[in-house]
Amino acid sequence: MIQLSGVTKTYKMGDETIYALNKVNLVVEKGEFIAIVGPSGSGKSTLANVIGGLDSPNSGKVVVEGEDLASRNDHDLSKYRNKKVGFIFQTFNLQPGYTALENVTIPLIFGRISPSKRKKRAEECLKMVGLGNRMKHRPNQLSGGQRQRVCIARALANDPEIIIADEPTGNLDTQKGAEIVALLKELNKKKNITLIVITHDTSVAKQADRVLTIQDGQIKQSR
Amino acid sequence: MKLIDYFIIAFRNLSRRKLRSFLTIIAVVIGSVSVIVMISLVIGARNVFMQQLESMGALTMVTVSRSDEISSGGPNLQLGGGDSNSLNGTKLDDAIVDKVKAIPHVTGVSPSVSLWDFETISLLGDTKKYRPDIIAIEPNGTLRLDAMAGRTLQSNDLRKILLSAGLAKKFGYKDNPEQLVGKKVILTAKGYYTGDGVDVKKPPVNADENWWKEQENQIREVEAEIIGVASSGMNDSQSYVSLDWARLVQTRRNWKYDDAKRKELEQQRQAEDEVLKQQEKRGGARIDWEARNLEWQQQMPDLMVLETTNQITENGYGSILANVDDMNNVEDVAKQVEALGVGASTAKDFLDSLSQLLKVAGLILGAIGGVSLGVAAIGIINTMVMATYERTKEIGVMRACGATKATVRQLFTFEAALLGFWGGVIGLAISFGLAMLGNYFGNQYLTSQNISLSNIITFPWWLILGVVGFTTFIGTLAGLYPASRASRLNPVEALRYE
Repeated sequence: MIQLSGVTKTYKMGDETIYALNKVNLVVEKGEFIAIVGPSGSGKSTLANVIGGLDSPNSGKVVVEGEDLASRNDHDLSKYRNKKVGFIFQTFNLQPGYTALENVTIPLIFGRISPSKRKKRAEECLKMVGLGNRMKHRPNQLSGGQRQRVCIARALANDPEIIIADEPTGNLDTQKGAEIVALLKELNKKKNITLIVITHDTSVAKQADRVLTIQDGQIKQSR
Repeated sequence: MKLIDYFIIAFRNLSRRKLRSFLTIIAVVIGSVSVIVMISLVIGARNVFMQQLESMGALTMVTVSRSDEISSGGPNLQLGGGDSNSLNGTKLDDAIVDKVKAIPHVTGVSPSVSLWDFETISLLGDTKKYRPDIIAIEPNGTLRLDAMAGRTLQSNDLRKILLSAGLAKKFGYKDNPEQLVGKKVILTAKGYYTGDGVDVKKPPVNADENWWKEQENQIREVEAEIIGVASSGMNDSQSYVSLDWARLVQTRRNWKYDDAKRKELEQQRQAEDEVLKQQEKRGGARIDWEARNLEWQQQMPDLMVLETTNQITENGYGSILANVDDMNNVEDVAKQVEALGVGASTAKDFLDSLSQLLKVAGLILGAIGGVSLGVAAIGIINTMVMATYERTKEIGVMRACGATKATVRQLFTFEAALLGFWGGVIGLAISFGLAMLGNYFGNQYLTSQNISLSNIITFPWWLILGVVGFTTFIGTLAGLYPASRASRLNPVEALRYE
């Protein structure tokens, strides 16, 4: 379970203070599929990053599975991201020189998993996303949809409890995007992974258990 | 993240930008090569000095001098040295020689003097004159002398010279010194030289100031036969003669009145004069006083004798060389020599100042190499800072995937260290090649110079480890700033970076 209470995050832009998050309160149940929508600059990504432990709020509390993220140092926070969270990006952010398999091993390397176990686990993850026959391919030898699958496999590597996807279909055509969302939803249901998807795409948002609309750093509407 | 993973990832990251990594490494290579070359030159120079000193026997030599003033020059300068004009301190005579000989561990003793009498040396039949540097020694093996042509000195060699390699070269026999053997050299001295090899004219009856001046302005020439050419050691300007000949050279001969005999004759004559005067007064035959005076004058040269003074007996030797059985006993022997009230110097003083000099030279040369390493370090900083810009997004992904700040910092530091490490290794390999090349040509030169040395350039293990360690250290140091810059990146902003 993820609990946010009074979470505020501000940025300085010149003399102006911008509230990316303004006293946000939110509870996300384990295994829930949440879609976050809203205009750009509304604070969607900041909300996701705060939950994912990449960003820390100026005030307020973020509690994940009973643990307060604010009290954690860089080492513990990194471990939290490594073990509990998987990130999926709009632009995939794969290592161009690495094969699909090697890309998936990256979180495993930071998790100090031994090389043989690493390889086995990465193969498992790639098979899970349907890329069992593309393991030795480099990103530039893969299509956009395939690249996003590698990205999902990388997010799955350490068997996370939360997957945060920031515009996962933004760089894909409708059909491929639908496939990716279907895959994510399948993982969400099968493995009981909490899924937080930031999107502009209403067809993606429709499939979520709950849609949060963010405007000016506040959750305006919740379905 | 495990250590081996740092290695692999750092290596892969460097391979991604092959040309840039290569160019950065090249800078380190140039730096390390210059450091290695500079340092090995100094080490090589030291080895050459040491081996030369050893082959000359200088390391087991104690040089006894008149006073206990420490000469600042090297052992070569002390050979025969001892300024004959400075007569301070105890005279170095045969009594001292015997006393030095009696000191335990002393295996051989040779007095030596410098033949400063001669001003020029020239090959017979050649007009070119050179300044000679001639040392007289007892050729008993105390000072090891090797001849690269002809033979070395023997004790009864009179008017014979073991020519220095430097002079042989100047005479134009650099490549065929054996052709010099048997040839004659002319040594010249000022008019007041009255030693061996010149006739000392008896002053005539009417000798006046001009006659003496003429004698003084004459240039005396002494002939000597070349019996060999000395191997060019560390000092290739020194020629050698036997002490036996030096004794003759430094024997001064002067015509002088035998004062006692002259007085006796004068008294005799005055008595005769008195008798003659009386006879003249009493009306005897008139005496031709003028003729009698002239007759008296004519007799005077007969009253002159050739007086000889030996300057070596008079002033003592320039120095005494004493050979010691073992290098470790040298200091002990030197102390006992000093107890005799004379000065003693060993190669230690020279070696100390040599080490000091080489240390300074090494530092300066090392610093020059260090500058290029400094430039290389800036190159590494540049490369790594550029890498942090280029890989900003990648750093964001790494952080999202669970990399700590420390992991990112260490990874970048590792990459920089790897650049330094490879620079050091490649630099070492290139230096090794250069050294082989240098030794190849160096050996040819040394052989042509009859110097029994080879492979002067060597790399001690500490230099090999030191250089690779140092360049790796420099790389690490250069990586600190870019690495800390990379680790401090905000992951959210890094991920948004385009």
